[in-house]
Amino acid sequence: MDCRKVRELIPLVSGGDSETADVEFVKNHIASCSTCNKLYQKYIADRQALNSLNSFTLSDSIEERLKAISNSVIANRTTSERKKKVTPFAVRIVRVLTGTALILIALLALVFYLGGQKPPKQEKAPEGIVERIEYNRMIKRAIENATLDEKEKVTPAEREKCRVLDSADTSSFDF
Amino acid sequence: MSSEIVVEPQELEKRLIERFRSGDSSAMETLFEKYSKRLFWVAFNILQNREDALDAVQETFVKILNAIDRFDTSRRFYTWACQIMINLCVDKKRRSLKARSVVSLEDIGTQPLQQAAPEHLVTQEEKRKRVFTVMGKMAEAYRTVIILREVEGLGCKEIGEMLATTHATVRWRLHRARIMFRKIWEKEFPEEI
Repeated sequence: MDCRKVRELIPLVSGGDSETADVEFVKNHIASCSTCNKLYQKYIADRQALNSLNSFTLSDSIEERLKAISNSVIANRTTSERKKKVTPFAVRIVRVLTGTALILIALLALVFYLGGQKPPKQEKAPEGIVERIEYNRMIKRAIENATLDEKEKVTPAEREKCRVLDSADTSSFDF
Repeated sequence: MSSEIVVEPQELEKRLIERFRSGDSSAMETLFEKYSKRLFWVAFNILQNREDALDAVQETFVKILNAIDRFDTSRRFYTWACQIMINLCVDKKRRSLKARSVVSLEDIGTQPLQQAAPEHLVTQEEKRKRVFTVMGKMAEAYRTVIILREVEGLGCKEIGEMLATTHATVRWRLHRARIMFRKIWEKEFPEEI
């Protein structure tokens, strides 16, 4: 019964990957069981055989290729880092110029649009009404300026005002 | 008497990363050089293919550089890098339609003979090849945990962070991986039982 359990534990115990209790259990058992001890020694020998690979030396050609790989990877990385440093600056310049050009185009378009617009058409009133409006304005101004002295009536316009005032029908005016 | 300032490895890595963020690319070269072999080794063991492993390392480096600004320097750099790489390897494996090819350690180099006893070195060399053969026959999930635990020496908690899973799951996978490794070894090399 113990041998079965010990045989299960030996692979890990032999490699130092077991709990202390298991190590004690196995070592106590193999001290008195030659079969299990033999199995334990085989697993120890397996570990030593695997450890022999540690002393293996790679050939010069492999070492040279590894060195070449290392150098080329680093060289490529350095080149791509340089490109990364240049590219963002160039991209920024291009973006600024593109943005400026778009703004200018937009402003020019606005200027042309606004410049091309015509003022709204003023509707002409019928001729008879225009003359009547002007006549009434003239009369109104003349009446409002009715306190002018004789001396100031020097211009033809002033004289015309007085003449019109004398002949005007003032009943309809609202002062 | 000269006084030396001893800087912890993690603090050193943190300074290197800060230097890289400030524009010193040589700082990252230092980090890559330090970990490239380990990353390749892990990738090779997972992918079982030299070229795929080299591609995985390259892609990992690229991803590291792209994400380095967001890296939390309180974490270990290698843990983070390995996490990225393992995810890449898993994706590669899923996308790859190639049948698993037989690969060997000779594809990527072997340990040169040194001053130690030749028999010992041959044994070590043979052992490595056998280990590699056995691992090639394991399922990828188990192979990954066993590499990270036994070869890379990472703890279960760290492996859990890398694989975005719990400590308990990692222990369970490790348990299964070790049993699987033993079974495959006994099947492949019965003379050693």
